[in-house]
Amino acid sequence: MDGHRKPVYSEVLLPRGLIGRLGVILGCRALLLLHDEHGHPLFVTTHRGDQHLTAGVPAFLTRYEQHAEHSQVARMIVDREGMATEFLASLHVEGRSVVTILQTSQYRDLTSFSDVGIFVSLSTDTLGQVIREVAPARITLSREDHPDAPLHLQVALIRDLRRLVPVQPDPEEAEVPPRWDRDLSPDERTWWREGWQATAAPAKETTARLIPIVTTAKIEPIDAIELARTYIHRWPAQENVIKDYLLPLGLDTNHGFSKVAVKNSEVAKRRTHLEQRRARLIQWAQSAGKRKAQASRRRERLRKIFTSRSKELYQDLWAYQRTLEEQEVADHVLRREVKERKAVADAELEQLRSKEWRAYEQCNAEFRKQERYCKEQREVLRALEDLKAQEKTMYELDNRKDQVMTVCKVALANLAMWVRDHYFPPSYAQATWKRLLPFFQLPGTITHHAQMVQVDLRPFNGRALNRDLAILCERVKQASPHLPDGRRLSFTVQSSCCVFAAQKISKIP
Amino acid sequence: MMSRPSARGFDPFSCRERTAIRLATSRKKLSELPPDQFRFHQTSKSQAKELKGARFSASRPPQNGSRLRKYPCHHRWHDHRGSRCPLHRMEEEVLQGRGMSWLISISFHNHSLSFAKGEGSPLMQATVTPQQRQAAKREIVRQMKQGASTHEALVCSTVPMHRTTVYRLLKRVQREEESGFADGRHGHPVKLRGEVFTCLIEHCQANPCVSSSTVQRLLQERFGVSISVSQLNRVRARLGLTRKPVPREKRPKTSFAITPGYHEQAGGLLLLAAATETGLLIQLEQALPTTLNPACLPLAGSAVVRRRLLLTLLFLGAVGIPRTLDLRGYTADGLALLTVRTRAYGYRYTEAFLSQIARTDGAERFTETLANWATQLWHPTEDTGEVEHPYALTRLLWMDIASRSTVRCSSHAD
Repeated sequence: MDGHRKPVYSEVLLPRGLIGRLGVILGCRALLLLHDEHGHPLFVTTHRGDQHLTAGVPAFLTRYEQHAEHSQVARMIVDREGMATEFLASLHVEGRSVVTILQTSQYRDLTSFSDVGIFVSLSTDTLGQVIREVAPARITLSREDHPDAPLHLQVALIRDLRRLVPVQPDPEEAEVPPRWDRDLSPDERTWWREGWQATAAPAKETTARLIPIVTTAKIEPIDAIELARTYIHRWPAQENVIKDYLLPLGLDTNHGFSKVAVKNSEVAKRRTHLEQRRARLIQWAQSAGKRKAQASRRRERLRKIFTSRSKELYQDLWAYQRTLEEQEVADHVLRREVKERKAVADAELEQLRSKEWRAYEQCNAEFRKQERYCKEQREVLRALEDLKAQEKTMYELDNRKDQVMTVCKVALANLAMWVRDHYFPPSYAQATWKRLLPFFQLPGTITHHAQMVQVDLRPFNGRALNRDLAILCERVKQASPHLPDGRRLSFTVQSSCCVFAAQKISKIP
Repeated sequence: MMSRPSARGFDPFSCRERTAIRLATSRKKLSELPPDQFRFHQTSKSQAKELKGARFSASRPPQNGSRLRKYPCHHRWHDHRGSRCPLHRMEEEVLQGRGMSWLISISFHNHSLSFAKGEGSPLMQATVTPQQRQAAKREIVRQMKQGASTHEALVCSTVPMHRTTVYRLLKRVQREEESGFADGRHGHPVKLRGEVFTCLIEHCQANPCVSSSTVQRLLQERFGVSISVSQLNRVRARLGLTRKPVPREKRPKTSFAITPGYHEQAGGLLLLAAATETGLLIQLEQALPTTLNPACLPLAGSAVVRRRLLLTLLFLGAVGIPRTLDLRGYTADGLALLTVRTRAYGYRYTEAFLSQIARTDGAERFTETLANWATQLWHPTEDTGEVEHPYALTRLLWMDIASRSTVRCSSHAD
């Protein structure tokens, strides 16, 4: 499975999506393509540009299986666009296994995976040096909707030794960034002194890039190499077919631009988000107001307690001092005793004071929060009004014409592949449309017979191409495919013709 | 040249009786006419027989006056002013049989009156040259412009002319001025005889498909005679030598044959053959909507047209045309070859076809077809291996050997 978006340049607002080829977000049409394991495009549908792949795939697969009898998609390989836990879980429930790749935000390093096995060689370079290695592993992803039923995936963890990426710091350590001169000795850190010589900063710590291929299949134990190769094969089988066959045949060309006004999905999404935000802010402001009131009451209570207790303790201390003076205790003893008693009282009062201050600070914090939430409510309301003022009508394209033409293009790509596999030399097994096209464009003379249409093709200038052409003609002659009128087709190659008439004359014995 | 009486005929006697009464009442007026205005047409015996047969065989009641005047044979009974002529002998007999001999005497009196005066006899009118006729016309018009009545102008004219003709002439002169004097008539058709006639017969027998315009040129070149095509057609029809249609070449069994000769993208035929071999074309054709309401071209056209348009859509990308709009500037013959035409379809027709398909749920049908076809192409099921060729029946359909219903029934049975 793959998604493909083709841009539609229009003056009106259309449903937009990310155009992978251009790297920009534009109004577009979204195609869903299904290829088989050899890359033959089997099925294609056209949708509005803002439809995500994960939203359209379940219905797409059902539709394909309904039309293509005796064919069921049991294993689906999809790029990282299909990496959504709910999507994988739903397909798993339907009995389909999915092979895809984790998004970089879903893991950090090897520690993100569990049960990591031994890395074995996956691919080597021409010198026999390992450039990629793979190990089986597992990962558990949480689901927002079902937090009690996380998604367990098996992983083929590829380590690409050619591509090194910086080691991501520990999130706790990242809060306090290290000093830039920590690698220098104390003497060398005196950068403010005259004559300080700068040295190169230390190289960043790197590690081999991880490519985690995941699957929902429950096969035990998993063959990591097979899983990795299965996903890697998606590139020549699908991406290259799109690039080499479907795009040259005009897959990116749009047909039909009739449109109807629809609800602006972008504005609706933002409005929904803002309204939810506003509702939360109202709730938060109310809660903050309640907490502020509670903290204020608590602080007042603590303040009273502190005052009364302070009064009580210092009265006791004063009484104790009077008692010692009456006993005519030496001054230094009296001071010491009073000081000790005062310290005890102060310690007790300090606890009360800190409680009061905490309540005071909490009251202030909740007040500030409430203020901020109220301020944000106004901002959200402003944003909602701005959104309403700036809202443009969105138009949805009629995709029916485009779908008809897309079907024709995909069918033509299949035809070209079929012709390549059946009539062209074996060296053309991986040939692209661009390579086959010169053969289809060859001029020739057509002659009719009762049961045969013979085409005398003009040869190429290149000897190698002529050799391939001769094989092609021989194969076509053997197979003798039928033309629509029932006659059989036969190809022959013209004898090399002379450029000048004088040459022709000189050839005549 | 005398006009022959119409086969429709009428009873002249009731009309004759009315005429006689009118003549009797205007006897005095007639007697005042100059004798040279009484010029009668002679009638041969054979023509008289024909006339009699036509008149006596008629069983219909007489027509009204206007119908009578328009009748071709009425000139026989009118002089150039429209007054009545002496009766024929056979008619006299009939009148006598009906007890109306007094009418005979009136008519004869009128005739004998002018004859006795020595002012003219019922002789055949001398041939009038076109110049004389032109001069007479101008004289009549001139007199009438000077205030003369139609009757006076006619009396003074040297060329006999009917009153209606004079009125028609006046209208034409008022409308067209000088050119109104020319009546534009071409005269009598040339009668073919002798060597020219023989040449015509021989040439038409040798070349049954020859056109009369060709014969006209031939006779002009060989004999210097100018004969109209219509006259030649008449003669050929009378001789049974009408032009035979050119026998067309026998059409091939299928109307979907590729034009032989040199083609720019002849190698592309391999794709066309592949589309046939894999059954793509027939499946797509079956996916086309069959009924349209209202039915309109091009989807409502013939099956061959639909096939060709389908091939146009299919092979647009193969010939480097990204969209149908680019067909406007397409001049190569690659697409024409792939669509089995002499020239590729244009933008409007192809786009109209595409629109019709899209409007009639074609996108859904085509998508289904693609899923089915592509899956069968690359992952054929086991049961299709038992058949000699998975699309043998579809090929028969394309060759117009089997009907579509046969193929459908067979596919359902499978």
